Amino acid sequence: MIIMKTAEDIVIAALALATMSAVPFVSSSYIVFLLNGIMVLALCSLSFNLVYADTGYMNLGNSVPFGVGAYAFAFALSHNWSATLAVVVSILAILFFSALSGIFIVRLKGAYYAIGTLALVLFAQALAYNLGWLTGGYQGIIVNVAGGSAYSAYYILAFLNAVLLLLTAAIRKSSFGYRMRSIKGNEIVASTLGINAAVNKVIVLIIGSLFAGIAGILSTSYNGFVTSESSFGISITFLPVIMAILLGSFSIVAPLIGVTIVALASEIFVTTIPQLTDFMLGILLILAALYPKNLIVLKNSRFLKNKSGVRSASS
Amino acid sequence: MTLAPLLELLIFGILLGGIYGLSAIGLSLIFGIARVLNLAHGAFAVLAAAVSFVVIQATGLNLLFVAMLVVPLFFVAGYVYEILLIHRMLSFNRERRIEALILGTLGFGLVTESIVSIIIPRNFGVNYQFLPISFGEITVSTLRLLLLAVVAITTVILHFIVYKTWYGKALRATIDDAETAQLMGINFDRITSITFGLGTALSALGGILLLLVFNISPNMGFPITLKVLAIIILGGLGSILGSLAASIALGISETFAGFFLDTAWSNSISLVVLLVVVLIKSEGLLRR
Repeated sequence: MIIMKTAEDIVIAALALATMSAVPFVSSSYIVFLLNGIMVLALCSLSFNLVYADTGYMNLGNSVPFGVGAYAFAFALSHNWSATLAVVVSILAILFFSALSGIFIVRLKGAYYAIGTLALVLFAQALAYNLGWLTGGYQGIIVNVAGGSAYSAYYILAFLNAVLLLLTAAIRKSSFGYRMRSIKGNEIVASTLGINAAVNKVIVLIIGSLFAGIAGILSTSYNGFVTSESSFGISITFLPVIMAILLGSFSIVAPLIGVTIVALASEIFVTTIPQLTDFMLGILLILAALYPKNLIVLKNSRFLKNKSGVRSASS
Repeated sequence: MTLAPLLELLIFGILLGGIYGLSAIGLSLIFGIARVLNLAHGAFAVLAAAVSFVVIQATGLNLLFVAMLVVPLFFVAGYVYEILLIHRMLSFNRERRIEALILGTLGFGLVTESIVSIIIPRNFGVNYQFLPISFGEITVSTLRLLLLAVVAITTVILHFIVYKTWYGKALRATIDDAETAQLMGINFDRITSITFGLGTALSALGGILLLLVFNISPNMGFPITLKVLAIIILGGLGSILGSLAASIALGISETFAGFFLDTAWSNSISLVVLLVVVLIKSEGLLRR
């Protein structure tokens, strides 16, 4: 396996796994909620990273599939559909919307890609406010969640994070990964070599969106509500991006550690000085712009190294 | 329905468009010279509006007088912003520069907006009572006519600066070909800083004028930036008249959308315009 090369790595992974599975048994439900929030952000961060690290395209609109998942699931549950049907419908909605937006967005290059995806977030936010019959308007949708759903969400989130980590590593080694990096290197040259840049970009966007969307479904499932702010707000839009970039998006494990540090800090901010949350996010964005991969000096530690052995163009 | 209310809407749309236009010319100059999509542009407008609001509340001075104090202040603010933040990011290599500029200007805008919302945690606006004038069936407030005059005068002054002064010549030369302009002895860094000051001052003026048109909310900055982006992509880079025409078109469509659909939709109209325009013309802006 790619990210677990030595016996030491396997021991560490096993320890992490054991700790993670033991947490819900020994800690309070608040801790589980907190960890759920962190893992939701981690999943979004990894999903951002999947697109960004290999193709170089900055998808700032990852909260759109997140919100689509969260709203679709809440809508289905509030209409008394069965949980299985709700999940299936939500996933179909995520796939539909990410494919639809992907077809348009794929035409944009460089900075326009980032701005176009960000404009999509604002558009989704406006829709969530204005389509009251579908989204509940300003109040959002409240759903009844079964007792213990925070615990099941906890295990599903941990599992999905692991899956996405392994998938990222696998993609990086696959020919699909090479195709994407060739797009990053030079899209025109890649096209002349017979690589269909548009199709590859849409596919990786849909894979990323799917995971972000499932994170949305899960966040509804344990929070019991969805609002425009919780699904398309500034925190969920920018925190994953900040975490992925501050800690170096070219390594695979880095976003996970970054997510934990930044999410804990933001949790402390939100609960103590809520007025300063946006301020802090802005400062973090500026830091991410000026010192990518440098803020925390863990970058040379062995856990953060890109172990696939593939150097990316700018790292 | 008679024609009169529609004409009044049209005049309001032109006014709104004119104000967006000032801000758009500012962003267009900044993008033209340094290839920087300054995503904090609208946040400066909101900050200027907030500063003016606070000064008017505290001293009771006339808004036009306050504007004459605040706009030069924002010239300095833009100048310093370029030197302290943008300049560093412009020195990065190409690939890193694009992402750094997006994140950095976005973050700066967020910081600015959050400061505004801490100072004034609600929507704010200034109201002056002016006698309306009637032309036949149409009634227009004198205030709006005055604002239109301010927009027109500013545009003329800008046109003069860009086409008749040494700075304007240097600016246009740098937009055309930065390297050759430098070889001809134009200080690129200095021109860039001045242009950031000028663009920011224009954005600030737009924000102050908006204060008289409707209530401003602290988190309006980024939506304004997106509108202005749509305008400059539609109107063509570096073209003052093109930007004005595009912004008036946007102002009118926004006003009519607010009237016929619902005010909640009028912001979405400009987002749709932005998305469509970016999709159709994104190559056109990069190509000169």
